[in-house]
Amino acid sequence: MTKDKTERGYIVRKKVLLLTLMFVLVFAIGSVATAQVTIDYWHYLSGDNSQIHEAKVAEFNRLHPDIHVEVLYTGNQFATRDKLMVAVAGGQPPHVALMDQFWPPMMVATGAMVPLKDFVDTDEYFEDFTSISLDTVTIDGEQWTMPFSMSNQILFYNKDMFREVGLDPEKPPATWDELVEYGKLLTRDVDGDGQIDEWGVNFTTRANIGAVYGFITFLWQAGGEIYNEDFTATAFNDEAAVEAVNFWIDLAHNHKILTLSPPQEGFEVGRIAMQYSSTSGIARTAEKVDFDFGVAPLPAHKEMVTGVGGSSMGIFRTTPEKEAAAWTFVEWMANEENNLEWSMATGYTPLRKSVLASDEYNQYLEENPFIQTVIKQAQYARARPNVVSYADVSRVLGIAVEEALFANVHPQQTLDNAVVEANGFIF
Amino acid sequence: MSLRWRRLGGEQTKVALLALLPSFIVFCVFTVYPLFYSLYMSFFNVHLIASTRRFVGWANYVTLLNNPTFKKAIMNTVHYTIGVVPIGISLSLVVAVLLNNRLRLEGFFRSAFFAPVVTSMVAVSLVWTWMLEPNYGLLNSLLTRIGITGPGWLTDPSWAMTSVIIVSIWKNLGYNMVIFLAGLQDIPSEVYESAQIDGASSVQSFFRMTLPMMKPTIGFASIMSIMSSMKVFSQIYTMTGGGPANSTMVIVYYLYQQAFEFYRAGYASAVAWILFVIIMVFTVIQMRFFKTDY
Repeated sequence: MTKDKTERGYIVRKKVLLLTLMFVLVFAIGSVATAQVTIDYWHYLSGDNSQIHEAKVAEFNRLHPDIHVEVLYTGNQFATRDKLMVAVAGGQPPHVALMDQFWPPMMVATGAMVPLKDFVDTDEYFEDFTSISLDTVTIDGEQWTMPFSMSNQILFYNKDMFREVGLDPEKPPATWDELVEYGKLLTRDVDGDGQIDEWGVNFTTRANIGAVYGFITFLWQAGGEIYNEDFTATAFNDEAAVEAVNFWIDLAHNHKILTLSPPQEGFEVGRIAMQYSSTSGIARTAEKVDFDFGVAPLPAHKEMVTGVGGSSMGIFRTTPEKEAAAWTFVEWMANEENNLEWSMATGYTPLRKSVLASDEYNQYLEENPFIQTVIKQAQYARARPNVVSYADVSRVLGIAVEEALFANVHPQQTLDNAVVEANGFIF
Repeated sequence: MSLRWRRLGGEQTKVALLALLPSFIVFCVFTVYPLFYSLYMSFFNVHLIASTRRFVGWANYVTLLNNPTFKKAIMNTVHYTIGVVPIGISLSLVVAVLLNNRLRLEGFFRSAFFAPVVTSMVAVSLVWTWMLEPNYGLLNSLLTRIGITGPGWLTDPSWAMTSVIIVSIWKNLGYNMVIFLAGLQDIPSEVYESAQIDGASSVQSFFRMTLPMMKPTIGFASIMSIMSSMKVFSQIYTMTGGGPANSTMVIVYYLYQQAFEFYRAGYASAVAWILFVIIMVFTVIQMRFFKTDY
């Protein structure tokens, strides 16, 4: 009886052992067959740009059999930022993520990111990159993310509407004063029902959809600054800042050439004559509209400035193997050939001097006069400050500007309060 | 050992407790623990991302109660509640009384009024955002036909809250209607019959009989409506983003903004606890007023 039991037990154990061995073997073979590093990559591009970009990721995967990039669209910029922050806070970040230009400082502060100097001699590697593209990724003198796409703010205008009111369509407004002057002519009641139905100028005015990005350019144009020189406090309540806010208030409430309830796609349907936009929207808009479309540098004031937007790719701290694969991926995306291809497909400004100087790109410029305007304006481009508090500070500023503009109140008090609140985010 | 304790030890009780355990654990982990943890956090300066944490005592509460935006958020929440609850409750009661009669297409009407309740708030907000669009929106083009220039419903600080209130009333009408219908059907028909014999008009029987007998139901519906109005969020998030110029900034949106835009978890927890206290006070007052226990 006992012997029988032991014997059966022995057989059972033997079977278990065999099964285990088989499993081990199967998995071993399996892992040999897929000796491939898989990395997760999150992005927020949409529409055509998303298709072009995901096709490039697929091409990367084809060319690199040892790496597999699992690409995931994580919603628009705002949704992606929230997801990324939660993922980082929870210790489960993706291996690579596309980041809007102002996210990295905060991400870097969390300690979740790997600086690019861990992979390459950055001085040497970035020699070919334009200084403005490096400004967007440099935090305290070190490059933390790989520049990917770069855009500038730019003015779209409707040449047909310019002609209708007797303005020279080849002479877009060059200054704030001209913007007002032209805007007054272009704001009209076309059907004679006593209500305005065409407006001179438009830009994003709502804080929750990023109006502050546009406002900061007006602030810089007026000679103002967000921070003091050593970034220990905010400075957006001086005379220049008040002038910038007052200019917005004047456009909306005194000259009445900017409507706070703009028609959806107003520029595209011909109800807005001059639209502040991004160079990344040129191709899309040119294709969509059926009027004579013009692109101009931003009207200047005391200073000639345009804001820089765009994105870069960041690598998160995981395992050396994954990080190395991630570097191969981001480096490939920004290499000369791919940056040229991406710039020509989307209208984004090239990151590399070699691309700007290449024959292909110059031929592309000849065929695309709009992009020439972009490149001409690029020398006035200015990147937003890469400091940890920027995201919070700019959000406070955006809400304050919206409040002053919509409530039509004197901005000094609102900005003074905002400065106090914003300083609370600087540590 | 008391009877109760002996019962606890019984075989059946053990099985029952065992069966309850999984949901109880989930409840504790995802509800009770975060609840008390947020109270604990509200006394710290916590940055979600930089994972810094510093004990600050009551400082979050003091800052909060002195913050002009938070004060505005409280006022706006009260404004919203006053706008939504009385009108919403009265309208749903009227609709319920009307639909309680034997009507033709009664089923159709009941479903029609209830349909917005089961529709996602985000979908409702998006559709309404289009209808309220100032330049090509349905509402303003109808108003233009009768010679009225409609406002920028969601873009004018003095109209934005009203617009949100209108949408919310429309959305929640059906929910209270169903509760009232159930209440109305509990009133025995003999009462009405005898009143009719005594010569009561239908208006009299509504005010003298229906309303008093519906008091507990109305009380329940008001408490629920006030609680949900205090916690209004989705329609604000999708329709206005708290703007323009903070005109629709409500308590929960402020909380969201502090927690998930500024990553100030401690401060946001303090907002949550103040909201809790406010709702608590309102509920207690209301329970006294309707003198019913739930």
